[in-house]
Amino acid sequence: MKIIVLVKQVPNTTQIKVDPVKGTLIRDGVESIINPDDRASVESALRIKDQIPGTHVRVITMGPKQAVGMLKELYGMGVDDCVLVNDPIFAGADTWATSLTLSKAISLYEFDLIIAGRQAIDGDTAQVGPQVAEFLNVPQVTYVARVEDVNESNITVVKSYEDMEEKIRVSFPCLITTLADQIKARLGNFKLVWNSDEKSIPILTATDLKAEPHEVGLRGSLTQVKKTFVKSVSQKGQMIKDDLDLAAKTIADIIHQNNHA
Amino acid sequence: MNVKDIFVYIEVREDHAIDAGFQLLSLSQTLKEQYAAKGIAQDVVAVICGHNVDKHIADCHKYGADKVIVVDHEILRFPTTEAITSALAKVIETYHPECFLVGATVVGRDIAPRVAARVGTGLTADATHLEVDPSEDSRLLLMTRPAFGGNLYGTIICPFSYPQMSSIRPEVFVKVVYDKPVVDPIRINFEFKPTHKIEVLERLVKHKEGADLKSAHMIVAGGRSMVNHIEKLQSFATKIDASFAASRGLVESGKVGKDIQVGQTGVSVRPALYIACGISGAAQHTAGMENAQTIIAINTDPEASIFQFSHLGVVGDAIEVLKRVEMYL
Ligand SMILES: Cc1cc2nc3c(=O)[nH]c(=O)nc-3n(C[C@H](O)[C@H](O)[C@H](O)COP(=O)(O)OP(=O)(O)OC[C@H]3O[C@@H](n4cnc5c(N)ncnc54)[C@H](O)[C@@H]3O)c2cc1C
Ligand SMILES: Nc1ncnc2c1ncn2[C@@H]1O[C@H](COP(=O)(O)O)[C@@H](O)[C@H]1O
Repeated sequence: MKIIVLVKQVPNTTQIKVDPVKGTLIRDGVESIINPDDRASVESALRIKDQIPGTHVRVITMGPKQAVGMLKELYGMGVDDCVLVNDPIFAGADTWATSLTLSKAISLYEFDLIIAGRQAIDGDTAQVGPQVAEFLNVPQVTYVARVEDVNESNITVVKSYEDMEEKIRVSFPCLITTLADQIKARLGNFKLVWNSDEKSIPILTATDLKAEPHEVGLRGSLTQVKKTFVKSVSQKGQMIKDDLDLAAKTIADIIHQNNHA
Repeated sequence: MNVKDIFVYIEVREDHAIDAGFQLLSLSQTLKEQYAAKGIAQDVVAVICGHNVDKHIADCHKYGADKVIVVDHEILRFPTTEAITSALAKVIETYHPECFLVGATVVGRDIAPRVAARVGTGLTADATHLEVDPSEDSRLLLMTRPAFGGNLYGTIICPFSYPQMSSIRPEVFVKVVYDKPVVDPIRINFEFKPTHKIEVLERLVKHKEGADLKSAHMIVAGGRSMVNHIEKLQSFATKIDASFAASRGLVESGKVGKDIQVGQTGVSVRPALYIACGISGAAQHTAGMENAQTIIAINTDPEASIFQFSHLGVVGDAIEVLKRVEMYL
């Protein structure tokens, strides 16, 4: 079986703070990590590989050259091949252009199953998985909480909704997007980590993908960012310190008001 | 090509039309007024996809639809990706809407990107604020959304392609009773042959503890530090007739279910009163509760960012404070 996993390197957004004076993001010292949902995707792929011998797992990432570090880490977990999609003209891509570029990269390889993360924690859009599936004209199952069963021709997954779960069987080729919540990823294997330095990482450029400059990156994007801003950090309300009794009375009073509203 | 009108996807699951769609109809009436102020006439059009859905038409008009398009087909009884994508793409290709809004539910976030890719337009995810560009001669929607876990906001435009599409989180906007006159719906003849080999084997409706959170009048929420006091918070919530919710910090402890997590990857709520007990106020949490009418935060750390959102902030031990509150109830 051939699996392609889409992995994105992202800044650890839980470490990002807003500079209250300048009103900008403080990104210094914020580490780059493997997007949490994508880590779950890699783990799901590796579990299939553990179960079905001969399974080949290839990771594709689009991003800056520094992503090579992340790819080595993934080799350490046990993936077979990693590909970096990198070209200056890919920069500034929205989800449309990202998905188009990734689908062109995927088309260079054979695949039964594509696994993406539900969403990346920097952009938070959850759009790239479904759009890649559309460009490749394959069925998709998003919000996959866990894989129940897999064989050479199809996969059975549990999709999680707000108020229900569905057990879905989908034939290959297809794309699924995973949730990190229930899929805990393995650590790197010492020997594989050791050997990961020797692994080659092919880089695919726009020429390799036969991508026209007007289809990719900022130029190929259908949406544009008009402006960005940070939320104004202002204390909205009243504060009570050191007076437990006043605090308790005030809270009780607010509860009463709301109970009789 | 004449592009016109604001379309809203009304998601129907089996017999139930999801509130998110109605909220967007009401929002669209506001956008319609903003367009009207610029001399651009738009109608608000509800697109209902499902099976035997005529019963939802009246509600669409009630919450702001000027017109209703019905796509009725047995296969749409549950919203499957392939069928809904085809239905909505057909609607878009037939009517050329100027704007197309979709609730960012699990279904909405599954189909909207696929529809956008199929019809060749841009899509803004999870917008929290929409307005018509005030500058002259512009028909653009300004779609503002959080990124970087809510630390940064971006205003997105879709200048080259139509429709201007956005998904919008449920509960960010409220449904308003507009009581538009009920008119005969436009019925689309939808023929569909599935080609994707995909099959739903089982559907398990979960009784989610958090199901009532969306509509809760009052919520008491606990954070990571409340891990040993969950029963106390729950009994306090019961006493004041509030629902109980949690931050991801508390959910991660494994003592409460993910169903009651409020925030970016949990439920969005808009109660009259939200009492945050021992919650630090990370952007991913506040994204789901900042629309509460009144927010009370109790936290031992005077610098906690939750205080930037609260109307009343109390520096202190949450359990001690609540114990004292009970004396005054
Ligand atoms: C992609 C992504 C999605 C996320 N989605 C969500 C989401 O949907 N919802 C969500 O909540 N989080 C979410 N998070 C996590 C979020 O970033 C925070 O980590 C989380 O909200 C922190 O939970 P907390 O405030 O309970 O815990 P902490 O940050 O550990 O804060 C505990 C607080 O309790 C206070 N405290 C300690 N003892 C007491 C006491 N006795 N009385 C009163 N106060 C006390 C402390 O001062 C501190 O402020 C997400 C993160 C990521 C990366
Ligand atoms: N630059 C990228 N390279 C590889 N995969 C990506 C990239 N951007 C997004 N993805 C995949 O698409 C998923 C959803 O991303 P997003 O739509 O940005 O929230 C991620 O979890 C990844 O699996």
